[in-house]
Formats: sequence, C-alpha cells, structure tokens
Amino acid sequence: MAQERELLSALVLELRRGTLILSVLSQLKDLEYGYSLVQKLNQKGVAIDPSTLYPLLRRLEKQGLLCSRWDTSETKPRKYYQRTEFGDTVYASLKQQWGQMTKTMEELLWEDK
Amino acid sequence: MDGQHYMERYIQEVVRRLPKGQRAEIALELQEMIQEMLSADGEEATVESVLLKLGPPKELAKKYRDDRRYLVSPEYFDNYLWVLRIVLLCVGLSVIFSAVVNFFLDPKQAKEAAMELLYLPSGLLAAFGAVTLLFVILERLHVKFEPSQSSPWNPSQLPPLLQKKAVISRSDTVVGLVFIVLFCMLLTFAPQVFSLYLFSDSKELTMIPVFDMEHWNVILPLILASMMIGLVDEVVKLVTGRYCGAVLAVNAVTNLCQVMLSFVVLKMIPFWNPEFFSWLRKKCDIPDLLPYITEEAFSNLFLGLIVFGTALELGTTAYKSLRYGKN
Repeated sequence: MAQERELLSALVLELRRGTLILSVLSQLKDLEYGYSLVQKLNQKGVAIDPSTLYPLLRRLEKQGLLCSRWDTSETKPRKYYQRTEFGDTVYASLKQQWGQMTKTMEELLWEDK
Repeated sequence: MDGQHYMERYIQEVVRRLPKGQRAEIALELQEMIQEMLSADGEEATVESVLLKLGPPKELAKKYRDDRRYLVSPEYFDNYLWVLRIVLLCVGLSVIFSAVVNFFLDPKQAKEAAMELLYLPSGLLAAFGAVTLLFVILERLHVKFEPSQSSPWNPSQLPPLLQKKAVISRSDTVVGLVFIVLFCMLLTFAPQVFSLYLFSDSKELTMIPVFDMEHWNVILPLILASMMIGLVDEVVKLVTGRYCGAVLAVNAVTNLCQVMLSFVVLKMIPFWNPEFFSWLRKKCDIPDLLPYITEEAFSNLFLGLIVFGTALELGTTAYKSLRYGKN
C-alpha cells in the first residue's frame, strides 16, 4: 500500500512540476519579490515553498525570461523580478500551448463522462 | 541575538557550497527569504522553525546549483563505453603478450615473466581512469562527436537476415588472430624454439634448429609476410561476420598469395638447416626411407600439405559463401 501511495505522490509531483514554471511566469507581469510571489501562488492554489521558488527565479533570470533588481531603499533589502520582453513572448506561446493541451486532455479524460 | 547567529551560520553553510561569484548575492537572497518567512509566521516564529522548514543547507544548496552531478552524460556514454572496451582490450592483450614474449625470450626467467602479469589489474585500472578522465574533460568542453555516417539512416541499409550457417563465429576468428600473432611473435623473438632438442649422455643439451638460421634474415620476413596476409583474411572475416562475396574474394586472394609465398620460401631459398637433415639421415634405421630424407623431399611434402590445406579452406569458404552468403 505504501508503495502505491508513493507512486501516486511521485506522479502528482511530476504533474505539478510540469506546470510550475508557467504558473510562476504568469504572476510576473509586474515587479514582484520572492516571498510575495510565494504567498500569491499559495493563495491561488499553487503549492510552492520559498526554497524552491527563489532558485527557480534565479534560473529563469539566467535563461533571459526574467529581469531583476535589488531594492535597498527599505530596511529589508528585497530582490524584485519581472518578465522581460523575451519572457513575455515565451509566456504568450506557452499559454497558447497550454490552451491546446488542456483542450486535448479534457477530451481524453472526460470522453467517457 | 541567537536567532541572528543561527541565520548567519545557516547562510554560511549554504553559500560555501556554491560558486564563488554567486555567494554574495545568494547570501543576500537567503537573508531576505528567512526574514520574510519570520515576519510572515508571526508571533510563534523563531529562526529555528524557519530553518527547519528550509531543510538542511546541503539540500538548499543543491537547488541553487545547476552543474552536472555525473561524470559522463548519457549523450556521451555510448562513445565512452566503446572507447573503453577497445582501450582495455589493447592494454590487457599487450600486457599478456609482453609476458609471453619475455617468457619465450628467456624460458629460465619464467617466474619474472609470470610476475609481469601482476601488472594487469593496475594497468587496466589506469586505462579505465585515463579514458574516464578524457571523457569528463571532453564533455565539459562540449566536444561534439560527429555521426560517422554521411547520410541519415534508412531501412535499405539494414544488413541481410543471417542464416545460422552463414555466420562466421566471432570467437573462432579471434582465436585464429591470436594464434597468428603468437606464432609471429615466436618466430621473431625465439626462432630457436623450432629445434630439435638433444640430450647427450653427459646430460648436455644441444639444439639443432630445423630452419636454416644463417639465412633467417631472408626467411623470416617472407614467413611474416605470409602470416600478415593470413591476418588480413581473419580481420575481414571478423568485420563482416558472415560468409559472403567479399569474404570469398579476400579468402581466395590471401590464400593464393600465401601459397605463392610458401613456394618461394620452401623451394626458392635455402630454408632447411643442413645439420638437421644430416642428423635425421644418421638416425634413420630404415634404408628404404633414406632417399626421402632430403631437403627437397621435405619441401615438396610441406608445399603439398599447404596447397592441400589451402584448397580445402578455399573450397569450404566458396561453398558456404555461394550457398548461404547470397540472399
């Protein structure tokens, strides 16, 4: 039984992992800093913790999808991220792809009703 | 104060595992992360509880790192295995050959020659390490392996179906190869092995070589040439793996060359050791046989055997190639 539960968890994790980047990108039209993004995503039902998101934001910046800047004006220095133009283009394409995929999946999963 | 101390120690542990250039910024990020989590958790929050949530520094550092956690990637693995196999084979065989050759060079040093085989494990290990290191470097330098075919694969390139009888056993050819090489080694480094060993009454050993050692510098190259030609035949068989037109053609040509060379060696140059024959004639008790114990007779006999053997081999190869080789 434990093995079955483990397998299920692993498969769910795979599913979640596939959508993580898209969900992160979707929230970065405007400037956001790491923790606010964590809270926003959690509120909207995307399970993510800071130790995953912060490195992910760095990676996306490295790939050119995001740009960042430090705000040292407050007592707490914060790193703000936002989509680049390239990020916007990629996000738009991904969104389109997602639309097509969900349509296909809906048909596949609910055709028997 | 305690909490601050914990936080600094935690951050230190994470960033020390990261590349130098990124350390300062990631440390700042981690500080932001931890402080945000602290304020978000409210009254009950302590640095310890936040750090517990974040998990061991090692794990967090892993998430920040994007370097490869392997030596050779799947992309390079096939080439790596292929090169490894060849290199290990070569190293292994050379160590063994070297020991064998040294043994034949001086049979009294048999123990020393056997000791050479002890180099085998360390030699193989060193070769393994060298090839692995080479591929680790190649991969990091993004060296691309070009595909060997100029055109992309398509089904017409598939080799024909193998009939069991058409297959040339790989182990047979390898054995043949090994024998040829060993025989050549022997002829080159220890031709005196091919001698008559006589113990006199006083337990003294005299050796009468079978071959004419005075003309050995002419005989040896010719024999070696013949052996090398035979080697080509074996290699072709090894590479194609089955009886076919190419194998038949190569077999015919090599056999023909070998017969011609044998003719030259046996009939056209001094080959036998005259001493050998005088000894034989002395020892021969049957008078009727005496006229047959001559160099010429022996040469003819050997040549006859060679021609017979060659014809037999050629015949079998031809039969198999023509019968099973064409689809």
